[in-house]
Amino acid sequence: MPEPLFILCPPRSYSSIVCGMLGQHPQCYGLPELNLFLADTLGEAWYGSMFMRSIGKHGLLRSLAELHEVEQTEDSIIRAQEWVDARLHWTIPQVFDHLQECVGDRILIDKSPSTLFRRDALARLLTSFPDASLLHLTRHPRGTGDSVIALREQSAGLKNLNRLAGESERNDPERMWRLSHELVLAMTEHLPLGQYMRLKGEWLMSNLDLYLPQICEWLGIRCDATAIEAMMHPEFSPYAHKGPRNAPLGNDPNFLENPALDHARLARLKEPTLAGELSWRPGGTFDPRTVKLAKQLGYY
Amino acid sequence: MSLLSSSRFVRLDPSQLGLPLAPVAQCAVEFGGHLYVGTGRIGAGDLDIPARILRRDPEGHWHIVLETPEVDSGKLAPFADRQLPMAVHYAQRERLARSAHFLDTGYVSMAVFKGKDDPAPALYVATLSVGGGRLLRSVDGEIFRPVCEPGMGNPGILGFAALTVFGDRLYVAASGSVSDGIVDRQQAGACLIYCSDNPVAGLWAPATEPGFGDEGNGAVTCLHAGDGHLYAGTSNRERGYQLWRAVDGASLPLQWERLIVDGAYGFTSNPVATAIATFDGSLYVASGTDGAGYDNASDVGPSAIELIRLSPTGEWELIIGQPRFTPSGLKVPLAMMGPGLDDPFNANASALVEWKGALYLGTTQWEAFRALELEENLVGGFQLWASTDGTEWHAVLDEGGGAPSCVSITALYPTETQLWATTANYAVLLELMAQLGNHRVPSAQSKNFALLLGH
Repeated sequence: MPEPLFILCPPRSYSSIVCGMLGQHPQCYGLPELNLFLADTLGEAWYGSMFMRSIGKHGLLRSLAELHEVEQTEDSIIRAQEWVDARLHWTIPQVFDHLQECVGDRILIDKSPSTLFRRDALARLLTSFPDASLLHLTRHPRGTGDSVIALREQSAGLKNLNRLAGESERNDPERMWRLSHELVLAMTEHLPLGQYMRLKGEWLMSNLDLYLPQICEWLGIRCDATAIEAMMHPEFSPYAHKGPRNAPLGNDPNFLENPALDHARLARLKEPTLAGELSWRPGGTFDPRTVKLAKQLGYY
Repeated sequence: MSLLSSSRFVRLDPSQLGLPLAPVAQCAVEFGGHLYVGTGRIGAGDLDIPARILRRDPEGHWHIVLETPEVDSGKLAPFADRQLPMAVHYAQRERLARSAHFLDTGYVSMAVFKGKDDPAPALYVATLSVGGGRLLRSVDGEIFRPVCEPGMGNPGILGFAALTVFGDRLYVAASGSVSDGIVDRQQAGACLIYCSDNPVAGLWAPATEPGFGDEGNGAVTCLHAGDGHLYAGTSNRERGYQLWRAVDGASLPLQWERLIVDGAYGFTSNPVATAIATFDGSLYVASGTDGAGYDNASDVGPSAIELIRLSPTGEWELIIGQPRFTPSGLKVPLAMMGPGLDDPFNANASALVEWKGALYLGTTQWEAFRALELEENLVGGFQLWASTDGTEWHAVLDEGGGAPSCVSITALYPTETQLWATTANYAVLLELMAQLGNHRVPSAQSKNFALLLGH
């Protein structure tokens, strides 16, 4: 069986649409956010945090329903939950092994931003899958921060975090961006050559014809026109639309609303600059540590 | 014997040659049947050592042909070296108050060139000088006279480097800066290349616009003439190094074409182009960071060597370095070696040259500084690598040729039958840092630079 591909990035880094695209390759299978590396066993991950007791579990439930029954309904989601409850003692690699059996010899792709919430989560991934391919997806810290703020504004429950962003560093999207990328760089530093690759999301999204074949070449999968054309349609992913009421998410809400590529919009994609005031912190600018890291990742 | 065999090289220690102590040899050139070597100092713990030009006659005897003069200390303001740790700055200032002051701190680049008013090819030497870098000329290899104003009239220019003959002109890059008592060996006082077809007359003109029009370019760090072009590599700590080329032309500045941008998309992990060479019809460009792995002045790094190969049309391949997606396609290191030739302490390839059908690459390897921090015995030291096809690389020498404090191969100079390598020995700086940091003082075998001679 092939090694899985993990997309490593903080939230709001184009990961839903990128996973959706790569997952449409005939030799790949793009999963929604599984969030499984938060603990060693399925039970610890499942019941170990408020996040997983709420929206964090939607991705796995939808995956199991789709793969077991080829449909995502409230009933199939309930049966997926029962499947989980019967296997709380399973290790995370066992869960992935099961998913791999379900998809055959296609490359599983997971893009859970929660993997970068804590150092131990990424360490768990690297220990569990020492030979997996790792795609580090980046986005300009200003673009990421603005997107985080905008998403929070869409949610009544998250709006308060925006009001705290200027007062509490913990809720500042800049901090999340910096810590996440620092973590990836530090923990992938000594991996064998080629196992880890980094890509600017802006480059990829604004020039899919150039970068999708490069990703295929790196993964050692087909890069013919048919395969590339399939990747141009993330909307055909079974996880590109809202799920049933008991597991509606598992991906970025905006992606679930508009999963198709908007080529006109992508053609206008421009990278912002590091200089200047931050929209979410009036009078504030990026921390020098953020600027240094951003330049290392190719942002200015 | 294989071209890549370490037994082709012998190590010469200046103390065994009857020469006085010098920590750094920076350049070598053959002129009038003699080999000339420029020496200098690190700038810490060795302030009382004057820069010198050494000459080796065909019989193998060495002589000092130039020793920089002492100058009145009142004419030179105390300075701190921006690339050295702060604790070293203070120690340096204290010692500077007690030590001699010299006009030049190093002789760093040499070339043989015949200008319009030169009756015969002359030896040109570039200096690092706190009062403004100088260019010296000698027709006999014994008497050296300046051929430009200090710093080309800009005393903020610390020195000149990369003397290169291209067409009927001599080119040189401004190197380092002096400002407000601070010496910065990495950021040039002006990111410019100067040229002259008649240095004797003191006629120098810029061959580029400042920074090639990009404020991020801090210095021109290497020049190379080959395949009908003049190539220039830059340091750029904002976005990564750039590579430019120009054809010879009557009007100045030359018309330049940019070949590489953003450190070949390694960004600030590739801040400095450190060496360029032509080999087997292709151009090779080495990059990394100047200094000891981490550029503490600009907070860039740590970085390690990468090597790329360009075709005459400008397409490039990654030979050594980090695989990556780029606007010009997927780049995978053809040598199957990561940054630093798989050694993260190899900060840069400070020298790159063809000799006898092989491409040789000398490194700056700073592991001795790490060992000092860890209170371990000194390890590491420069490495010499070689390749007969530019793709597959073999280690020829490592561990500083037996002296871990010998951190850098500073230059490689091929003659018809020999390959000379000059080196820098950081023993005095390591010793000073150990004392200041209450570390165990390392026991370096030698504090002298070494010369490597390949046959």
